[in-house]
Amino acid sequence: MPKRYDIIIVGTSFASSFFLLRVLQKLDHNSRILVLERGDVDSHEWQIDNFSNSSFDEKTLIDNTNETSSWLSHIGFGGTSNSWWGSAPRLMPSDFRLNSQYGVGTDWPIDYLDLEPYYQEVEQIMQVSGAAKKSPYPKQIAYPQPPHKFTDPDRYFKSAFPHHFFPQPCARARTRTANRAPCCATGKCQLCPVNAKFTVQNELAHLYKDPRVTLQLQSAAKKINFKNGLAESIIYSHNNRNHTAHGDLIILGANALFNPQILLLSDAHHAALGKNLSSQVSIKVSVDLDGIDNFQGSTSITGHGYMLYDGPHRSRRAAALIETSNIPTLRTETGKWRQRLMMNFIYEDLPNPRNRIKISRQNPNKIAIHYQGHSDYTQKAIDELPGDLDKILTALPIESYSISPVNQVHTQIHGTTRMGIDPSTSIVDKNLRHHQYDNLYILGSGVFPSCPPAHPALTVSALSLRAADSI
Amino acid sequence: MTTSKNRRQFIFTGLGLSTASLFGGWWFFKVRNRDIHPTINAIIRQELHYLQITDEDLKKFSEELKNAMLLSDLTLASWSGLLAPIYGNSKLLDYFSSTQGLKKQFAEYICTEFLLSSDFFQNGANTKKPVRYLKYYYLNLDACNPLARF
Repeated sequence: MPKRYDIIIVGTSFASSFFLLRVLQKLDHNSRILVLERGDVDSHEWQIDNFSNSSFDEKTLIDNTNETSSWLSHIGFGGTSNSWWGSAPRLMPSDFRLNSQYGVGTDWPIDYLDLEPYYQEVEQIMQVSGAAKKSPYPKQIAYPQPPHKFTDPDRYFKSAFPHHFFPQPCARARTRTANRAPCCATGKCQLCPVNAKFTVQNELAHLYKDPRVTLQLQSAAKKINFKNGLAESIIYSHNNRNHTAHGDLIILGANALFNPQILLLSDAHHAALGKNLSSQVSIKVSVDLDGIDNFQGSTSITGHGYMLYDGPHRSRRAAALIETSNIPTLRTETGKWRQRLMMNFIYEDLPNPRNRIKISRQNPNKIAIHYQGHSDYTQKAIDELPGDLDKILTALPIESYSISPVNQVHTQIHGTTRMGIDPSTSIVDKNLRHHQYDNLYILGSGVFPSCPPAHPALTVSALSLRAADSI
Repeated sequence: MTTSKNRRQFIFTGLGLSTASLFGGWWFFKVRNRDIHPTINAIIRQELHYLQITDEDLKKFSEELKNAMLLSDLTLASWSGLLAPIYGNSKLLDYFSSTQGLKKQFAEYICTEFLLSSDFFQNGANTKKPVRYLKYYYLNLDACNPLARF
């Protein structure tokens, strides 16, 4: 006899964990929640010992039809919270109104103010460190942790662009928390040796020990069964056998690659499902400084520049968020060892329906990623980078700079299950509820209708809290 | 006429591609697992020629660097092997700007790893003082950025 649960949640990364956090606050003591996690619990110690975020080889699940770009997600308890760098900016208000403000892309069905209280809550939980006073976006209360220390080049930028340059908001602890050490700028954030960044494992693992929660590891959600317009049950594999669990509410929190896979295998077909796969496009710029030492900051990425973010340019070319790195990349000339600045320009992209996830024809257990590349809108901004640099780098004395090729490794994956008002062009509504099935919710950055330059984890977490509140 | 020209083109292209693949494969597998110490030694002796570093320290650094690269990034480990002949022998490749850029980037990466793993900055970046290798900082998991201010 299949088991019955009040809620079945797929995945244990940011999206699922923040959703679980809220529903545990709301549900009574007799409630039963099943959480399905495809991977295992690879502890922080295991990850350090093995120089890896996961014991699961996700490549066995993906057919990448365009080998020039790769798509990474880390499978296992805590998901990408194990491998993220802790960068936690909010989106800008304009990111929600891209079309109405700039005439390009798509508006979100919610606006910045809808998410503001949830941003605050997530920042508290993650203990985000950020600018003490001004932020690039409206903010009701200060960040819970003080900002990390700037590098000397950051100070030059702040002086030249006082309203557009800030300490990076991040979940790499500035001061010790109950479960985390303070960040000491090791620069190895993907596998933080001192356990300073927020992860599900170090801050939210207790949720999964709640007596109402059954965490089922090594269990891959395969398919949802629908009946009478509702999601009735979920089929998952565990120990090479298929099992069925019934749920009153089913929550897909895998990610933007695997949520559409489950829906496609469930015959929940929709013209927009799996489409608009997108990711930010990033480019590194190496600057040889003239007489200024770098790398004094107190964390790995110290500055966030908004000089190329909002403005009239956004109606014809992509916005960019600029990161300044504090990870030493030294020069070899005598006395100039530290006169180097690495910057990362993260561009938004306009989603393209031809970039999409399908079920692999060769192996239905795999997804096939069809990605033709970023948009002309983004390429235009990239083409104009040298001119932008000539202006931005007037802030500090430099000898020269060089621009690296576009990074083709995508870790912040958007689209594929977009939210929207129109059920014919979007998969979920503004509360992340499936347009067609009232008891099915889809979480994660797959629901983003656009692909803004800012890192998505904070927004993903805030959206999950909001979705759980809407139930 | 066109058909025979196409056939010739096909044969020559095929032969060219096969030769290139065979040579590329041989080169890749020959250098992939080679000892990276000569490369590391050549890079550091050339780029940081003004520092006093013992051969023993460089050998130890090479060993620990290789171990760490094998553990953390197989691609990088392969590349370091591939770059050995470029760095050590072939001046011809210097004429290609892209190779020069790659070579410079790799050399700076190696020098950064060495300097951060040594007492160089602890001693105030004093070039007159012998530099002692301490421990490969990537393996020293609680090693903080030695240049950071908190």
